[in-house]
Formats: sequence, structure tokens, C-alpha cells
Amino acid sequence: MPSIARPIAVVVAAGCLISLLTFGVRAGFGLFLGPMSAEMGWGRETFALALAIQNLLWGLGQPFAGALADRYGAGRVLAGGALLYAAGIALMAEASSPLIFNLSAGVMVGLGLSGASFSVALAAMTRMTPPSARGWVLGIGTAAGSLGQFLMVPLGQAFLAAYGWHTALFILSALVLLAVPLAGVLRGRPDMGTGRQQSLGEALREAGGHRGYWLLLAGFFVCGFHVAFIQVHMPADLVDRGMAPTLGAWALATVGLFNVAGAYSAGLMGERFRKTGLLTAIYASRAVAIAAFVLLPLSPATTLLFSAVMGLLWLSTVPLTSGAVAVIFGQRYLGMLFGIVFFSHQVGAFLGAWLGGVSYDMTGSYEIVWWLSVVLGVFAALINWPIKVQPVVRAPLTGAAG
Amino acid sequence: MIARHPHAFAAALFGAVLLLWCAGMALAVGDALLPPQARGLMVALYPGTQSPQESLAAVRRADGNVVTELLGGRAWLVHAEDEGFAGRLMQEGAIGALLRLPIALPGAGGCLFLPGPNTSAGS
Repeated sequence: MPSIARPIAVVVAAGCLISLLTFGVRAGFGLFLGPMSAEMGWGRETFALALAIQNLLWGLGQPFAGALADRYGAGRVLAGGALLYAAGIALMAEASSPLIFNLSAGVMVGLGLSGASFSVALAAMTRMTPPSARGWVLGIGTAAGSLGQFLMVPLGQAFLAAYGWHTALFILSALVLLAVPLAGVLRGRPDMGTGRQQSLGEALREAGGHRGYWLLLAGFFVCGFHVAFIQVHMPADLVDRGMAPTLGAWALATVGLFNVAGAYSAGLMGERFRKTGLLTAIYASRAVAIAAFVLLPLSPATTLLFSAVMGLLWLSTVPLTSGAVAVIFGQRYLGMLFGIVFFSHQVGAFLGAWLGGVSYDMTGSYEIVWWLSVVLGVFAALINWPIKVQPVVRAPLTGAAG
Repeated sequence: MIARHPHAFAAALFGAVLLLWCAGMALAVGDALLPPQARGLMVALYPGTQSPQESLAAVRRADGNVVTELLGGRAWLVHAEDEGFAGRLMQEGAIGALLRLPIALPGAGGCLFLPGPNTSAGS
């Protein structure tokens, strides 16, 4: 079934709300760690393991969810993912053992997130909008996900305070279910055309043989490294360096607020300027900002300034990276190809979070990883610069359609 | 509308989301308010126009023990074992007394988001 023309406003609003809900709800899961662990008598490692499984499966499942969306339509994958995600949250509330908790909060929510993720929604939104608006669509879709994360943490805690963790989880599950009808707006497969279409294997081989794809993948790895390291370790680092414990929370809130504006602006700028040139500027700016943060005397003002700058550069890489993949390889397998790039991001995120802890345990400070972040920022800036964002030239495909 | 005014569309969409969010927060925070006879550990919320020193003095007047400052002095985690503590806090100027801090600071948006104690305002 080919894509059905729908008003762009409806498509964009539905895609943004899906991103906001699915990306946002998971942001509040950490709030349940304390009350659930205490009431169920589980160690905190039970909760941490489930969230680790969730993140791993979310990243691993992303290319497959993208491929399914490319094959069967984004609407079905988004709806199926949202159902699994919502069921996982509901089962979390009823989990009576660590095994059930790992299956629900870890496996079901992780796989559900793969299907109902912002990357599948972004791919569907760009397919259904004219090329001239795609940069803006990627920007607003990413900004919506960022806004969801920004808003859902306080809302989750308010639910927790008012109704207790059990009911709060059911409310969050119901919020995720709202994505199911919204997914109907994004139903439809990429336009298959009339001739023989590129197969999934051919698309993978084409991307695998494209130097620019590998460089984008490596750049996005660095993005994940920076984001996870700063989120997980900066608050503790600030305390170690003599700042008040609340400054870390304010710093992350500042990052989150500026992130919304940064993601939106990056999508707009991607329409006017070379996407990989902008990515070079973003990664180079991150390197400069991190170096300045490490070298300059630390104060609440410098911390919040650093957080604001990093917020502007935070998820601004998403519309530009996904936009570059879309321009180079087209819309047909965008879900899968960006899903693979996203997996690379998650690997970087895992390493950023993990190496921060290892480095601290070995040296008693985060200085090595801060400087590693600077080096990686320079590396990502350099590798993005030569990438040519232009459609691949394909030999005419012959044979029967399919 | 989008072709001509994309930013207005974005502002309207995000504005509508913020309105819904405010409604949800107001409902949940309202439901989290403690009755006047409540006692024990609770969060006292004060108006944004009041200085942290004034809020602290109000907690003391209500015979409360301060556990920690929250939200830059706009809220305090306080404790008293005698009945009616929540009511006394409100008589002395608190907007409300809540079982737990219902306003966690929003966290950074990212792809690997594992919020822990760092995302709540010192609770």
C-alpha cells in the first residue's frame, strides 16, 4: 500500500506527540528505583540490570524495527512497539520477582521502545512531507522528543507522590498507549515506485560500501559517548570538585532546556547549510566547550554556561545525521539505515557511561575521560567534514518489481 | 499553515503540550497535598516571592525541623512528629505540604537516560 497523502500539520503533530510520549516516559523510570526497590525488597542492582537490558535491546532492536517499518509501514511498527512498551510498563507494576521485572522493564520496554522510537517516527514523518520541509520536520521531531524528556521527569514524580509507584506506572502505561492511535496517522509504506526496487540486502551492501556512512556512524558514536558520560558522571564530578549537590541537577535541567532549542535550530540550519559541515561545527564546539570547562576555574556560573552550550549541541546531531542518511541513501530504507547509526550511538553511550566509572575508580577523577571526550570531539569534527551529502548514484535496477 | 508559518506551528504545538502538562501537574500535585493533621517527614512549599530566609523562619515558627533545602529555598524537606504539623506549616505561610517532593528537576534529553538521585532537586 503506498503512502496516503495527509495534511502535513496532522502528520507532524502526530509524529511529534509519539516522540514526546515514548521518548519522554522512559526518562522518568529512574524515579521508581528507590520506592520499588524498598517495597519489593530487591537490591538496586535488580532495577539497574533491567534498565541496562532495556537500553541494550532498544539499541539492538532499532535496525530491525527500522527494517520492519521500511517493509510493512511505520504505523504498524509504531503501534506494535507502543503496545509492547505500554504492556511492559503495566507488567512492571505487577512484577513479583526480579525475573518478571527484567522481562517487563528490560525486555518488553526495550523492544517496545525500538518499535515506538523517535527514529522510526522521524523516518515516517520525513517520507510524508515534501523535501523542502524535511529539515524542519527532523528538527521539530527531535525537539519534541527532547521536550518529552524534559517534561516527563517532574510529571512522573508528581504521579509518584500523589498516587504511589504502582498507580503511577499504570498512568505512564496509559500515556504510552496514546501513541497507538497516533501511529495510525503515520501508516503507509515508503513509495515503492513501479520498477524493481532495491532490496534490503542491496541497501545494506550499498551503505556498507559507502565511506560516508561509516564516518557518520563513527561520528554518532562520539555523540553517544559525550551525552552519556556527561549525564551520568557530571553531577558527581561537580560534587567532587566542591560544588553543591543540587548544581548537578540544575546543570542537567539546563542541558535539557537548551537541548529543545538546539535540536529545533539544527533541523532548520540543515536545510540551508551542508549537514556534515554543521556536524563538524557541532563536534568541534563540543570539544572546545569541554576543554574550557576542564581548564577554566569551576563555579556555578561556568557550570551553567557550559550546560547551556552543551544543551544547544546535545541532540542537534540527530536531525543532521538522520537528514544526511536520508539524502545519501533516500527514504526507502531510512528506518533501518538510521537504526544502525543509532545503534552505534548507543554503543558510544554505553562506553561513555562505563569508562567514566572505570576511570574514576582507577584514578579518583574524571579528568582522563573529560580529555578523551575532547579528543573524540575533534575526531568526530574531522571525520564529518569530508562526507559528501549527495544521493548515491545507482545503476538502473532491472527485473520484476518486488 | 506549516509552509508559511512553521515556527508558529511549532510554538502552538509545544504550547498546547505545555498546557496539558501544567494541567496534569496541577492535578497530581493537588492530589499529593497532605491533610492538615498530617505529621512526620514532608515537603513544605513556599511562594516564589518569598526569600529562602523567610521560608526557613516560617518552618521554624511551625515547630518544624529542617532536613534539607529544596528548589533553592522555595521548598524545604521538614520533619515534626506531633499531629497537625502540615496544618501549622500552612498557617505560617506554606502553599502546601506534600508527602514527597513532587517537582523533580527535568533531566537532560539524551538517548541513554538513566535518571537517578541527580534528577531530583535534592530529595
